[in-house]
Amino acid sequence: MALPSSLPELPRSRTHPFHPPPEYDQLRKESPISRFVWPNGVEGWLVTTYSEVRTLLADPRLSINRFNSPPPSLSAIKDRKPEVMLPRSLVAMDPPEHTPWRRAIVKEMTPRWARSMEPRIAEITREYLDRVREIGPGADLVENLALPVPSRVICEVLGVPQADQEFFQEQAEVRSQVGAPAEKINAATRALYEYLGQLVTDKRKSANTSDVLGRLVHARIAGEPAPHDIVVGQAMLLLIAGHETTANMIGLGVATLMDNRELIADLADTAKGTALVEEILRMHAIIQWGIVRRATDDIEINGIHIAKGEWVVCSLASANRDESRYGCPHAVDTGQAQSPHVTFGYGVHQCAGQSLARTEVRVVLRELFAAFPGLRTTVAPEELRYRYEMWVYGLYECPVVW
Amino acid sequence: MPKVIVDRDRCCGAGLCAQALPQVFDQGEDAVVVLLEENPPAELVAPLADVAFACPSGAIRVVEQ
Ligand code: HEM
Ligand code: SF4
Repeated sequence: MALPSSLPELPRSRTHPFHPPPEYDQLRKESPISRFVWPNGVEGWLVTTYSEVRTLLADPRLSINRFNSPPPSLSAIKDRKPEVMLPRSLVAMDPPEHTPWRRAIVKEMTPRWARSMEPRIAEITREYLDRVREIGPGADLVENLALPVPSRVICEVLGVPQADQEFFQEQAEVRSQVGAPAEKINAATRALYEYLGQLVTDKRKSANTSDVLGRLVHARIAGEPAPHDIVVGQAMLLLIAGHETTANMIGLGVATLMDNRELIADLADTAKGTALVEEILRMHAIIQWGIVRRATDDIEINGIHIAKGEWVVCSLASANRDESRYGCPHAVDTGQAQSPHVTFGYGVHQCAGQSLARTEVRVVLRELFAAFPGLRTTVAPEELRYRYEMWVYGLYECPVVW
Repeated sequence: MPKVIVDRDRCCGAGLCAQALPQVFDQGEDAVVVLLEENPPAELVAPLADVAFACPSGAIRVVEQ
C-alpha cells in the first residue's frame, strides 16, 4: 500500500459553468508547474500557464505512452488496471512510430477537405433541425442535434453504415462516464472493438477505397501493410474522439451565445463565424482535466526538475485563460487577433480532427440560429445541467424554446 | 525579405499553415507541408510569425535576410 499523499488535491470545483476552477488563476500567478495528487491517488505535475503547456507538449521527452501504469485520473478507484486493452492508436504512440500513422490519417482531414464538407454538414444539420421543429418547444438540442450530427458525419467519413450509429453513440457515452463501473466500460469497449473488427475485415476484402477506413485498411505504413488491430484502434479513436467532443462544444456554443446574443449574427459570415468559433473553443477547453504525459527522461523547466517516470498533466483550460496571452481571458473577445488556443492540444498529437470540428461547430450553430433566430434555452444558461464530473466537459441536455 | 524554412520531418500535418497563408504553404499528398514560396514578400512578416507560432510541431522557421 502506498502511503497517503501529503500533496494538495487537484482543484476541481467550478464556481461558474463557463470557467475553470478559480484556483487555476492563482496557480498561474504563483506556481505554474506544481505537484498535486489526483483522486485515484496518483501524484503528478500540473502545468497551468500557456507558454509552459506548449513547451512541454512539444517536448519529445514527454511520452503519451502509459507504460501499463495508471495515470493521474479523476476516477476514484485506485490502481484500476483496464481489463480490456484498447487496441493501439495514435494516442498510444510516440514518434517515430506515430509519424506514418498520423500522416495517413491527417491527410484525410485537411482544412481544405473540411471546407469541402461544409454543404454536406449543413444538409445533415437541417435534417436534424426539422426533427427539433417537429418535437417542438422544449426539445433537447444535445440529444436531437449536437450528438447525432457529428456522429453522422464521422460515420459517413469513415464508411460506417448508418444503421449502426445509435449503437456507437451509446457505447461512446458509457466509455466516458467517470463513475461508470469498470465492467460496463469494458463491455462497451469490447462491443465497439468487435463491431469495428468485423467492419475492417469486410473493408479489407473489398477493393472499395471511397471512404477513410477503406483507404486506411489498404494503406502501407512505413512500407508495411497496415496491421488489422491497429487499423481497428485508429477507427475506434476517430469515432470516439470525434463524436462527444464536438457534440459538447456545440452545446457549450449555444449556452455561450445566450449570454452574447449580439454575436449570433457573426455566424452568417464565414470569416466572422470562424473567429467566433475560435473564441468559443478557447473559452471551453472541454478536455477539462487536461492531457496527461509521462517523462521518459529528466526535464528542467523554469527551475523545476521533472524526474524521469513522473506524470505531467497539462491544463488546456488554464492555458487558454492565461492573462499574459489574452487581454480579456474570461470573456468571448472577437474584437482582436488572439493567440492560438490549445483546446485541441499542441505538439505532434494536436487534434487530427480539428478542421472538421471547427467546421461542424460553425455550421451547426449557423444553421441552428438561421432556422430559429429567437432560440433560447428554457432556463438561464448558468442553470443548465453541466458535465462537471465528466472527462469531456459540456452539457447533459440543452432544452430550448423559440 | 523573410526566408521561410520548413522541417518536413517534424511536420505533423495539421495544415494550419496552408490554411492561414495559402500563397506560401500547401499540404502534399501525405499531408506534410509543402513550401510554395521560400521568399515571401516583406508584408507577410507578421502573418508568417503568427503561423510559425501556431504550428503545433515547430516545423516552421522564418529568418530575416
Ligand atoms: C471540438 C471538438 C474536439 C476537441 C476539443 C478535441 C480535442 C482533442 C485534443 C485535446 C487532442 C489531443 C490529445 C492529446 O494530445 O493527448 C485530440 C486528439 C485527437 N483528436 Fe480531437 N478533438 C475534437 C474533435 C475531433 C474530431 C471531430 C476528430 C475526428 C474526426 C478528432 C480526432 C482526434 C484524433 C485522431 C486525435 C489524436 C491525434 C494524435 O494523437 O496524433 N477530434 N483532440
Ligand atoms: S502548421 Fe506546422 S505541422 Fe501543420 S502542416 Fe504546417 S508545418 Fe506541418
